Amino acid sequence: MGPIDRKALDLKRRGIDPLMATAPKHWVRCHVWLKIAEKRYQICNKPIRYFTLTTADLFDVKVLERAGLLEKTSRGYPGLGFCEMDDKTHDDIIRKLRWCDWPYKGLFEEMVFTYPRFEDDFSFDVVNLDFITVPFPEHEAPMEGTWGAIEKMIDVQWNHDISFDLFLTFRGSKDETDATSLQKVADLVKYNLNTGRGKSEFEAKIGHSDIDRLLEENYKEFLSTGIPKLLINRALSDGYMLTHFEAYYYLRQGDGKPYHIVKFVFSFEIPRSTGLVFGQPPPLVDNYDQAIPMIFGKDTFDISNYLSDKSDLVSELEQDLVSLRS
Amino acid sequence: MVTDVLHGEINASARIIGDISLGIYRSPANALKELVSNAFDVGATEVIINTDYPAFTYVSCYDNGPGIATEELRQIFSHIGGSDKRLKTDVGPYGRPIIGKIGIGILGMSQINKRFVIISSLAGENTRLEAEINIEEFVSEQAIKTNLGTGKIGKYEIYVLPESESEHYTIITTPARSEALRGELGQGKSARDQFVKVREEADTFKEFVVNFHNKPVSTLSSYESFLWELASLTPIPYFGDGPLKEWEGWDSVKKTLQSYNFKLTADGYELRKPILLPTWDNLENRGDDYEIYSIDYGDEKSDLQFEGYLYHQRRQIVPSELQGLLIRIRNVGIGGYDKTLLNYPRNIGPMVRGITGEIYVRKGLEEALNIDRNSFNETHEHFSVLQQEIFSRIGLPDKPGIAKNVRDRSAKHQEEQRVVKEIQSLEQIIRKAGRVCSQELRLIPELGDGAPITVDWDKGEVHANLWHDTVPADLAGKRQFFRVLLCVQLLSKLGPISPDEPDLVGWLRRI
Repeated sequence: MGPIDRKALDLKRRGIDPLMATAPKHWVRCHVWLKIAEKRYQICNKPIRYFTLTTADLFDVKVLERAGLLEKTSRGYPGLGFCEMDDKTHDDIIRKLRWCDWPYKGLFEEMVFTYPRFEDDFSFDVVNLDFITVPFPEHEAPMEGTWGAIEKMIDVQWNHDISFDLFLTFRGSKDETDATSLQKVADLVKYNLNTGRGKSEFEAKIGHSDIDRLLEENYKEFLSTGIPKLLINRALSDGYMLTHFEAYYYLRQGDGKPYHIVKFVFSFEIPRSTGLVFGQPPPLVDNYDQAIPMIFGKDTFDISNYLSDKSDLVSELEQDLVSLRS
Repeated sequence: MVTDVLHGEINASARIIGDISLGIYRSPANALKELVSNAFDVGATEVIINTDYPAFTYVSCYDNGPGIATEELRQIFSHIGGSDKRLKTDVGPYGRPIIGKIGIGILGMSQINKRFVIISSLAGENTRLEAEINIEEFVSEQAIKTNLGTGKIGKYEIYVLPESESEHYTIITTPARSEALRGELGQGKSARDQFVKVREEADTFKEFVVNFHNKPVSTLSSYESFLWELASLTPIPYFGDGPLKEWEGWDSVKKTLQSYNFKLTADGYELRKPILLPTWDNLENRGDDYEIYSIDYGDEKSDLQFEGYLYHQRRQIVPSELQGLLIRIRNVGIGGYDKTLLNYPRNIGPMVRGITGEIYVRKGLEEALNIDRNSFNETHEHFSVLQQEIFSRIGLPDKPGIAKNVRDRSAKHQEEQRVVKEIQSLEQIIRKAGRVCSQELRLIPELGDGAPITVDWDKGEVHANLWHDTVPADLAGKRQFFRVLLCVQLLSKLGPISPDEPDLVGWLRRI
C-alpha cells in the first residue's frame, strides 16, 4: 500500500457529497436508472444484483430499494456490491447497509485487476459505474486503467453468462485527460466516418464530419459519440448485443471552471434474450453497419435544459433527496 | 480540510516488543476481541466488525463509544504497555467493569496488518482524527533487537479533519489487500465453497451456528471458527436460554450481560454467545443425558471470587472448540476453551471430550493475566486456587468428583441399556409364544419375590421378574431361562403335542 494522501481524499469527498444531491443527478436516478433497473427486474423475475460506486448517502441504492428491486434480509443486502476507497466513507456505507455481498474497499480499477473474488464472483444484473473522474485519466497508460477495467468487467460478466445494464458516468472535462487516448478514440470514429459508416447521421447531428474539430469544440458530444463506439467494439467482440439507450449530460459548476457530467445507459444482452423485453431500440448484434449510424446519429439529452423550466419537478426531486437522506 | 497533521513514534515497554515478534494474539478473533473489550470499556453500545468475507482483504471495527482525543492517542502511543490511567478505577462509564488496556488492544490490530488506520471523533468536538499507524519497519528480528533499548515499535501520522459535533465513534481498520487476514481466514477453495453455502443459507447468526453445529469438526472453516470464537469470548448475551437452562447461577449472569446493552455485529450477524447445552441433535431439541455441576467460590471478603459451571454429557461435545474450560474475567473470555482443564493431572480418557464449562471471575485473577490477556501466569496464587478448585470438582485421589460421577453414570447407563435389551428379548419370546397358542400376550415386568414367570391366560398377561434369584445374570442365559419357563406354561395350557403342529414342535426344538 502506498501512502494515502488524506488531504486530497478529504477534499475530494467534501467536493463530491454536495454534488450527489443535486436535482439533475437525482433526476437520472429516478427517471432513467430506476426505469432501466425495473425492466431488468422483470427480465430476471427476482430482485436484481446491483453493483454501484455509491456514496455515503446511498441515494441510488435507496431509490432502487424503495421500488422493491433489491433483496433485503435481516442481515443486509445479499445482492448488492459496491467499492469505495476511503476508509471513513466505506465504513459509513457498510454500517448503513449492515452487510452486503460485495463490500470492496479500494478503487474500481484495483478491484477489477487485483481483487481475489473478481473473476470468480463478479456477476451483477445492473452495474452502475458513476465515476467522478474522466474516462481516460492522464496518469494512466492510454486506454488501460479505468477503460481497461471497464472492458475487463464486461468480459467477466460475459464469462458468467449474464445479461446486464451498464450505467456509465464520467466527468466531461479534458483537463486531467490523457491526450493519446482521446486521439485513439478520435481515430476509431474517424475510421468509420472515412469508410462512410454513419457519416451522414454524424453530419446531421453535429453539422460537420470532422471528429478532431468536435474534440476541440464540443467535448461532451465527442464523448457521447466515442464512448458508445468503444463499447460497441467490446460488446461485439465478446458476443453481446449492445443497446445504447441514451446519452445525457448536465452542466456542473465545480471548484474550478464548469464542466459537463456525461451519462450513458447501455444494455448488454446475451443473444438468447433478444427482443424479449426491450424491443425498442433494436439490438445492435452482429450488425456493425447498422449500429454505427445509430450511435453517431443519437441525440444527447440535456438534463439542465430539460429541468430549467420545471421548477415543480426540481422541487420534488430536492424534497426526495432530503427524505432519502433522513 | 485537514486542519492539523501530527507525526510521532510509537513506543512500548520491552516485554511488549518481545511479544510483537511472536504475535501477541493467537488468532484474529482474539485480536478483535481486545478491540471489542476496549469499546465496551468506554461505554459503546454497538460494535460493528466487517471482514470482507469471503475475500478477507481488510477488516474494520467500528464502535459508537465517545471517541478518543488526539492527545490521548498520542499519550497511548508514547508508551504502550505502561501504566494505564483508566485502570486506576475498576468501573468505567455506564457502570461497566473495565476490561482491556487500550494500547495493547490497538496493537492487536498490527497482528492482522502492519499498517492500519484509526479514525475517531469525540462527542462535542467539531473535528475527527485519522491516524495512520505503521509498524512495518519495526517488526523484523533485527529491528526488534535494535529497538529494544529505545522502545520504538512504530510510527504514526495523525490528521485532524472537520467533523460534525454530534458524531462520536472510533473506527480501526486495515487498508485493502491485507494479506494476513486472508491467510488466517480464507483457507483454500473448499473453505470458500463453504462460505458461499453459509451465505446462501444463513440469514441470522443462529442459523449460521445451527448450520455447522452438528458438522464433523474437521469440516468447520476458519471463518466459522472465527465468528464462533469472537461470539463466545465477548461480553454479549447468550442465545435465548443458553447456555444451561437449569443452572442456578445463570439468572444473575444473564441479567448482568443484558444490563450492558452491548451489541456486537460481525458481517451482518448480530452475535450471541453460541453456547447451548447439550450440544447434540439440534439447538432446540435437547437431550437429557447430561449433568451440570455448579461452582461458587469465595465470599464477599475474598480476594478471589468466581462462579460458573462444569458440564458433562455422555456424547462428545460439538463443535470441539466448546470442549474444555473457559475462564471469563469481567465477562470476557481469556484465550479460549482450555481442553487441558487447567492442566488437570489425571487421565480421564475420552470423558474429557464431553466436558465443558465456564468460570465467571467476579474478583481477582486479573493480575495473573499475561500481557497478551489471553493466557495466565500459572504460578500466580489466584490461578493456583482456581486450578485446585477445578481439580477438586473434577476429582482428586482423596476427593471423588465429576470423574467418578461420570463413571457411575456411565455404569448406570450401561445397566439401563442392558435391562432394555433384556425386556426387548423377552417380549420377542412372548410374542412367539402368543403366536403358537393363538393368543395375544403382553409382558408385565415385575419386581418382587414371586415366581420368575407366571401367565394369566385369561387376561393374556405374562408376569416376569427379570431380577429373580433363579434368573441367570447374563442376557443369553436369561433368554434361554424364560423360553424354557414359557414353554412349560404353554405345554400345560395346550396339553399333549400333536405331530401335526409343526410350529409348536419347531419352536420347542429350537429352544
